[in-house]
Amino acid sequence: MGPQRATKPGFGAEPRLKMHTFPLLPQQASVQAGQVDAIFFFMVAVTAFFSLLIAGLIVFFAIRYRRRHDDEIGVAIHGSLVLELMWTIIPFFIAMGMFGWGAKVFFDLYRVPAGAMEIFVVGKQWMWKVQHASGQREINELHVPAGRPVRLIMGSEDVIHSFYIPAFRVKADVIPGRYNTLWFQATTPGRYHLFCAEYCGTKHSGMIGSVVVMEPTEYQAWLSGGPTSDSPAATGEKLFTSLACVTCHTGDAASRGPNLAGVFGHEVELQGGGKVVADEAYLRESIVNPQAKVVAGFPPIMPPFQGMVSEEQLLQLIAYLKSLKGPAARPGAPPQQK
Amino acid sequence: MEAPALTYLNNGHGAASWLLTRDHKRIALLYLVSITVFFVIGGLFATLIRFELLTPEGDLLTSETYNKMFTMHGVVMVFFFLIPSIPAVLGNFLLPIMIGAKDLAFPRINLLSWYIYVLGGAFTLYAALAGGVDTGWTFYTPYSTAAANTHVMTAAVGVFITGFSSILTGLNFIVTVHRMRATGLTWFRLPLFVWAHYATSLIMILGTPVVAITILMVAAERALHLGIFDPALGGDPVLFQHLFWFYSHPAVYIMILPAMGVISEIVQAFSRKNIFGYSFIAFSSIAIAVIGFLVWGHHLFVAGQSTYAGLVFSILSFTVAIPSAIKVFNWTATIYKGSVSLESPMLYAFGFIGLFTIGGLTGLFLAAMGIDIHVHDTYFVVAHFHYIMVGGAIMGYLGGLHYWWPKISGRT
Repeated sequence: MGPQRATKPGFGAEPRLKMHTFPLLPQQASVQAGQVDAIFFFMVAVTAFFSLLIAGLIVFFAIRYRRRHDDEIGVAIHGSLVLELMWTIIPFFIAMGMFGWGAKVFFDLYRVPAGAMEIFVVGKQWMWKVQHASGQREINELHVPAGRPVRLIMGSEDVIHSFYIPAFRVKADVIPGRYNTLWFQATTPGRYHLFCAEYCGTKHSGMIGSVVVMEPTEYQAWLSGGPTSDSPAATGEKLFTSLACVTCHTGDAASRGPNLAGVFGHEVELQGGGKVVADEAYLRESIVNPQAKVVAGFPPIMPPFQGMVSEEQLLQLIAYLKSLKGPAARPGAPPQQK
Repeated sequence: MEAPALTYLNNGHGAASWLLTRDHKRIALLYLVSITVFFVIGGLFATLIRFELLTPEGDLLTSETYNKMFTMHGVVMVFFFLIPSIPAVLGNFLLPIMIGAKDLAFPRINLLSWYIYVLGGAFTLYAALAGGVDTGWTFYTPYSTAAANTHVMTAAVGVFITGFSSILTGLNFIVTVHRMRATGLTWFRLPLFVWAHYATSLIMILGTPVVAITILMVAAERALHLGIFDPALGGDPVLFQHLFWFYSHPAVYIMILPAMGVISEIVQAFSRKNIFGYSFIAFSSIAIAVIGFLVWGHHLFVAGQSTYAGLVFSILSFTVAIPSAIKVFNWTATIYKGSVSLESPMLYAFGFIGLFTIGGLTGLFLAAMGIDIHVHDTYFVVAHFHYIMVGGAIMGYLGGLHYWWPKISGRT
């Protein structure tokens, strides 16, 4: 990656590199990490309390009520409704509290803030391929700026993988045939572990890499350095021509395919009723299996591109479609609100 | 006490008297021998895994062999040791005795279940010897259907076949408990060991067919490329995870519920007391069996499952922890003012309570969606379920064997 590398190939933020600690938890290096750790430590405290309570009582009872004579028997006690209710209701409410807190953290991990920068990730046996919006590519490394939300759009070329950055407390499976996303906002520059967390075959354990968090200015420098290639959108535009998509999706009123300009993020009316929001998943499906959801007013004549375009090319095509701003009014579709 | 002259052990000699027996006690011993063989085999795989992990490099095993080791360890331990262990050995032996029946309702089906188990085991052993299988015990698609070129089919057939032995055992127990209780032995006088096995049997007959169908789908997909799980043909690889965990999460309760039944008996016997809160322990077994069927989605929090489905699965997963907590509290209360003797079975029971408590409480972390995102697919999960499986199921099994060994062997 050249001289931009912020840290030496140790892991973690810089000060940690010099310490040979054996940390209980990975370093916190994202805005989400603290939230996850807070509930984690709360639950450690609660569970430690109950574990010690049970263990303490058992040891105490075992000693206090140890058998002293061979013919000694215990006191017949059949139960107590009060106690039963107590140790049903109290744990239930504690559990519901944990559920609520856990769900809240989950939603925060799930909801992407507006304005997140998007990076495409493709998992394949056994590497991570990354492409930035500006066209920079990397393998088994992911360079991101600190202090900015980043949204990863991830697909798989073969089996299920799982993209896991322990220091950020984020993870999402990467599944063939669909896009999963995750977002994070890194806080501290440094180099962090990237793992595949879903067993994916022989060299799964070697499907590792690192996430390099840089100061935003350094990140900009990094983007412009190194071997340049076209942005995903520009590559996608070329594919759009070379795959002959453009012959039908001309954008004219008389075209055989819907005008795709501005379609991303908008509702599309489907043949036979129903609507769908044209997100990444819908665009992907409409390329690989166009007959699944045909836009109203158009004949189902588009051939499926399943197996003809790679996962990376799909992401590039989608990036191109997302970049088309144009008029949202398309033949066959109602005028858009926005 | 004088031992009777004629017992099930000396009533008939020779291989045929064992291999064609319809006596539930002899069938229990057949199971005891065969699951011990699989316990040792599964343990050997685990030993190799641990030796390999002494160093970070692949010094002892290649990646390929290592992957096969943890797969075979999981397959053998789950399907051929843990699931049959307590029900097929102690349950077979004791359930009819405890309810005052001469035998199980269907003695021939009981023997058949052992032969089915052995046949399934033979397929799995063949898969191991012929080169092994490397999909992980969970057989996740599309790796198992499209990528793995190891002996997936043979191992899957072994698991498929042995499932029927589970179904038959469960069926036998349910019918026996319903129809063959001694006069006056009402449901709420049943030993808690029987309640636990009744709940286990419900899961066995309702859950196991689902995993059998799922395995058939994997086989069909591998052989015929039907496209059930292949996205290129319009399938969905995550569908497999739903089907698999719909059985395999309840299967965890197949493994732990009988052990809980054993602990309920041991704690009473070695405190010389009746159990504290009998009906709460009995109903908590049923509650675990029922709610346990509704929590499988907590294995899919990071698989892109609907967020709202995730919420439902999370709240239900927290709920299923409550009956387990009730049991632990009641066992502890049983010891109170008892006449406690620390013999081997009681030590196993204490080991169970301590380790199972840790295993159960770490389960709460996995039910909490926000934490699960971080710890899912890590050693946290491996540690959690080994606390349940080793600390719970195996402690219960060994404790039960120690406790009832004099009954089984006729020697004290």
